[in-house]
Amino acid sequence: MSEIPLLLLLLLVIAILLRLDFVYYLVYVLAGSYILARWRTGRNLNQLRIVRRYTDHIFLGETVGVDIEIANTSWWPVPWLRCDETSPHSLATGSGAIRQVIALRPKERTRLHYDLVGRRRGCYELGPALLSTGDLFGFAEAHGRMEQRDYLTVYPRVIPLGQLRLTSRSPLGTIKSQQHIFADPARITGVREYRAGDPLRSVDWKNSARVGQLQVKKHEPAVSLTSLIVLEMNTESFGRQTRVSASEWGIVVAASLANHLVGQRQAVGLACNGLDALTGAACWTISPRPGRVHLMRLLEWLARVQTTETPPLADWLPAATVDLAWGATVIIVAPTGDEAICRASHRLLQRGLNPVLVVIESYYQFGVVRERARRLGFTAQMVADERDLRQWAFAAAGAQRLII
Amino acid sequence: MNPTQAPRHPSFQDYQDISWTNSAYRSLLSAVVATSAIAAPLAVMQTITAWRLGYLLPMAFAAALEGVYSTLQLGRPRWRDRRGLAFRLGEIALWLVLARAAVWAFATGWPGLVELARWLRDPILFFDGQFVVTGVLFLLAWGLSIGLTGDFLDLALRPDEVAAHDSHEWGDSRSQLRVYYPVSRGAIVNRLAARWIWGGLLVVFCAAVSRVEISTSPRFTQIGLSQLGLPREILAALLCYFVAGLLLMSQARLAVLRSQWYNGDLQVPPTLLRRWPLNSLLTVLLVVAIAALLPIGSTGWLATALETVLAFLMRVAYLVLTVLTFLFTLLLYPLSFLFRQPGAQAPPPPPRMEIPTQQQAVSRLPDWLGGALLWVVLVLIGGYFLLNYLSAHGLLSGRWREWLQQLRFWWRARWAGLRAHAHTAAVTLRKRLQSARLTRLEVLGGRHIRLSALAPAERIRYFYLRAIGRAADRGLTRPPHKTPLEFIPDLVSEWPEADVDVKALTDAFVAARYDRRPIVADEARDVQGVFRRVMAALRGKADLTADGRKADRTPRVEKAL
Repeated sequence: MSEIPLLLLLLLVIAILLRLDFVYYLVYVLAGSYILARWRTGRNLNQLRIVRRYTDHIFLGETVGVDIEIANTSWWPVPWLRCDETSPHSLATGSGAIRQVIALRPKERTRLHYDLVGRRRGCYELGPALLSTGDLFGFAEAHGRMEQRDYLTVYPRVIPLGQLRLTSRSPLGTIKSQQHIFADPARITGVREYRAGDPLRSVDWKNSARVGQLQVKKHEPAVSLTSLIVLEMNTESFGRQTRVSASEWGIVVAASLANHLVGQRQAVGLACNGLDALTGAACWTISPRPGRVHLMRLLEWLARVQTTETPPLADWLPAATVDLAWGATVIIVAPTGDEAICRASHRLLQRGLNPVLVVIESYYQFGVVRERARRLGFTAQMVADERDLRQWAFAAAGAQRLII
Repeated sequence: MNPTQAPRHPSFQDYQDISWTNSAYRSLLSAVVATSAIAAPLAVMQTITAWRLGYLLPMAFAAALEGVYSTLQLGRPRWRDRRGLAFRLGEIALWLVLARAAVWAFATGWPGLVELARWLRDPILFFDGQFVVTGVLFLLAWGLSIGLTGDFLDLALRPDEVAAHDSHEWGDSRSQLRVYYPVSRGAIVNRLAARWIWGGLLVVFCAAVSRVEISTSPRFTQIGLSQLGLPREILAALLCYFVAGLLLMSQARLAVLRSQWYNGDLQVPPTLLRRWPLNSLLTVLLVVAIAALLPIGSTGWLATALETVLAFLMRVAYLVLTVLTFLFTLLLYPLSFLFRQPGAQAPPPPPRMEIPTQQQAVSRLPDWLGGALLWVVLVLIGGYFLLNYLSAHGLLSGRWREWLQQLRFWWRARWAGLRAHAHTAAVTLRKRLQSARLTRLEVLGGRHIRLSALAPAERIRYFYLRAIGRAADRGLTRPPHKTPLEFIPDLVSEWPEADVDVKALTDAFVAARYDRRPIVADEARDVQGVFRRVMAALRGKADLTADGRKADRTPRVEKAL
């Protein structure tokens, strides 16, 4: 069809030379069709309003529907519009994308729909939606793409934990502590007879008057867990074979711990030496804060984080915990409990923090690590899989029951 | 299992793009474009002749429709046995017959006996100009419609594409084995568009030229108009050519997009495909309506401006051409004496040869015989193709079929009789030729050879062959697989008294026939004595065994000598 302009020119020459009015008319018809087709095709894409509507954060296993709403804002129809929306392969259902051709009448609005399943945590870019349109005669064709960038975040898996024994040295808090020296005066569990040495401020004068003997208030021991979860995502720290699975499991453990602690109304922070896929930040820290909103923020960052080549956790740990207050708990989620991490944890202990080392890769000589940690004054726990995590929680709950 | 859910074996129709090929809209457009294309030559013919050609466009439309229909039918699998040149020649024969009948019916009137006799004597008179023009235009419309329909058949989805598309739905593991052969539909559309565009230009040019004559004009050219209008039907046909062509281009575009979408597994709402012809038609009608409201070209300011520009350009071109011609003439002027031949006179023309006329050459034959033979051949060939075409369409059934069957049997019987007569005549002729050949051989072998005229080697060969011939006459023929040396024992066993002479004669023959050594006359003379003795021995055997009487012992060669 590229010869149409030449045909028009020759027809025009014939019409002028021979002064034939009907040839002028033919030129009008052909040129009108040609110009109209090219003019409208060039403007069709600009006069489309395309919006992608969906829930941008989902949990693992959830299905989200994505609607692409296309509206023709002009008074001229779009004879055909091809829309190719590429969706993330790991989330796709069916053919995996929208590949559809539609026609739009003037001012018509239509909606294309497809579903995504959150099979794997991550932050996924939707689209881009490639658009192509043209005229009815093959004179012109236009291509474009939807410039709006949309992302879908799939939160990491969260395993509900019953009770975990995570302590701090802070004397005030809302979680019961196994260390009875940290009694919370706001939590009165009962009274008992006065013993020598009991402070006078703990005497329950009203009950003493009623009973006729000095009675002392019994306080529930409690601590305030300002916790920071430190997640190791340095590529070199993981074994080559288990790099993907272990890092993913570490994220699950971190998310589960954060969920648990926030459920306990504690302030939780997150520090990681991995790469945030959206912002490109490496070695980032989120300050501890309480609340569900903050938890969702933590989960969102955990959804996006990727392993990368960053400084080892042992080197970066002092910088990540520099803002923590005395007595805060630092939960280190790392693939190994090597000597460097243990020494870094010990330095945290010396600073008045309460480090807890969680090793997420299976290690047959973990007893050595645990003994090393015990000697250095902190605890180490191997949580290589979901069963280990549940056993850890169960053992913690049992121990607490025994103590209480 | 529910019977309604039982798996159905796919048929070939499942792989045919029937919804595309059966479109009446596209067929109609193809026929309209093909018919409109002949409007321009028709206008030219109307200008230069006084023929009545009003019937031509409707009949050309019918020819185009027939071409579309037959092409669509031939594209179907059940018609594949009818594809070929014979079917198309049948169509051509049909439309030539109809063209001839149309010319008679609508223009010249039906012929009388006088015309029939004239055509018999001079068949070329049958093909008068009006018939030729009508036939050519019919065939042009018919051929264009076939080409257009064929292109759109090529643009349809092919069975391998349908199969590949179906297999994609089964999953990648099964579809790897079924990959369709890609078709360059873009190239087909480009070819179609180029044909339409350049054909349109030709059509417009022909139609325009048919209304133009050379006249003097003060403006810029020597070309002016003699009339400003074309007949309405021609104008309508020209407009139809471009409008229907645009709609056909729209259909071609749809075909390309449709195949891309289909092979790319895109979801396409059926309404889009259904509305496509209507949308394209509305768009074209809108443009046509708007164009009708615009000022007529030659009176508009744009046309005036363009005309002025064109006039200026043509004047410049004319001036440049004149200057170049003048310069070239100046350049060649000094060399003009090289080509001048003073005093040279043209040689006298050769005397005219008196060529006898055809009538004089075949004056012994009746003057209508050649024409009759030509007509018989034409009728037979045309009739064959016509019958082939009609039977392909299933039109020859019932009583017509029986009649044709009887005709075929009658012809076979006549043909068998003719073959029998020919065979008898051939046998008779062969016998006569054989007897004549035998007679000639006897004449050559017996009495009319002069030995003295032969070379010595030839003479020895003659002696041997003569002796072998005599032995054959006596009942001992040399088998073809035996060499002369191998034949010696047979001769000796029959004529033991001549064993030495037989061997000597055979050796001499072998030497004369196969040896490079030259044979001298004395040697031939010696062999002649041997030959006589051998012949005498052969005669003696015959005399004794055949009839007991003593035959003439003088060899016939000696008589010759």
